Amino acid sequence: MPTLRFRRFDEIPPEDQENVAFLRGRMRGQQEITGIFGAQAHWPAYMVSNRKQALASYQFQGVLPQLAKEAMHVAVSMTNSCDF
Amino acid sequence: MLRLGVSEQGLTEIMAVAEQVASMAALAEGFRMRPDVPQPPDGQQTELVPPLDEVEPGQAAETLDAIRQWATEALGVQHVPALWRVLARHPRFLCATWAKDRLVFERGELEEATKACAAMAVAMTMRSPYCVAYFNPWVRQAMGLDDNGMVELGAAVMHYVSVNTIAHGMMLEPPFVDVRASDFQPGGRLINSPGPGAPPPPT
Repeated sequence: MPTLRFRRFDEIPPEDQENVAFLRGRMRGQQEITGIFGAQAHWPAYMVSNRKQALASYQFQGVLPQLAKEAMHVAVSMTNSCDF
Repeated sequence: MLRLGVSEQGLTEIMAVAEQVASMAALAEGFRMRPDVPQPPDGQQTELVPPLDEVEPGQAAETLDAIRQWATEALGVQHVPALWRVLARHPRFLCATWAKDRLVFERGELEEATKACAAMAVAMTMRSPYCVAYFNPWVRQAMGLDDNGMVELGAAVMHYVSVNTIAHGMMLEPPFVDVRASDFQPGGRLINSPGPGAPPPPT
């Protein structure tokens, strides 16, 4: 169980609905925002800033192949003892 | 990684890279080794245990010769890095560790360049000046990275550390456990789970 409960889509204030729109398809009909986004959904603007950072780094198609980036992600997560 | 077509062994290869670099960093920083790639430092090379001189004959000579050859090709240096010359005080351990190092870092299921990226990422995450200097020329050569490419690598590491911190701090449970590579292939139970290479979500 996470430290903070996950937030539901219908709990997101109207002014922040735009910030969570990209998650609706990803969550495939779930009412609750779970996982790594769920941990940030109590502050949607922050979640979006991290999303933009991810698009410019982890998901950026530059010189590093996607497999190398995935390998780095696994290696760093293991080093940081990250269960997730 | 499994979704990208890597098998269970390929994922285990990355685990091996991570633990090998983590253990090297523990020794290097524990013994307070000063970075010696590309140039050996002036003065003492470590604060705790001095490395053996390269020209000293002994049981470790053959292994040190192999390391020197690798270091010349992969790191562009003419000396045996101090980490290995410190281990040379215990030739049996040096020999076993070098053999493991080659198995772990040479091409297996995964390309050497992929492993070099993972190694550099772990060296940075471990905050090891010695290991960062050691792996820097190798990852640049193996993956063909210039300074801009290195920043792309660094940006990815920043993102992973951020995500790890959030996930750990919020005690997120792992989304997948007890997985097989086939779970992410067509017909597998996790084929529709979110992630790189996943089918697009329904609109």
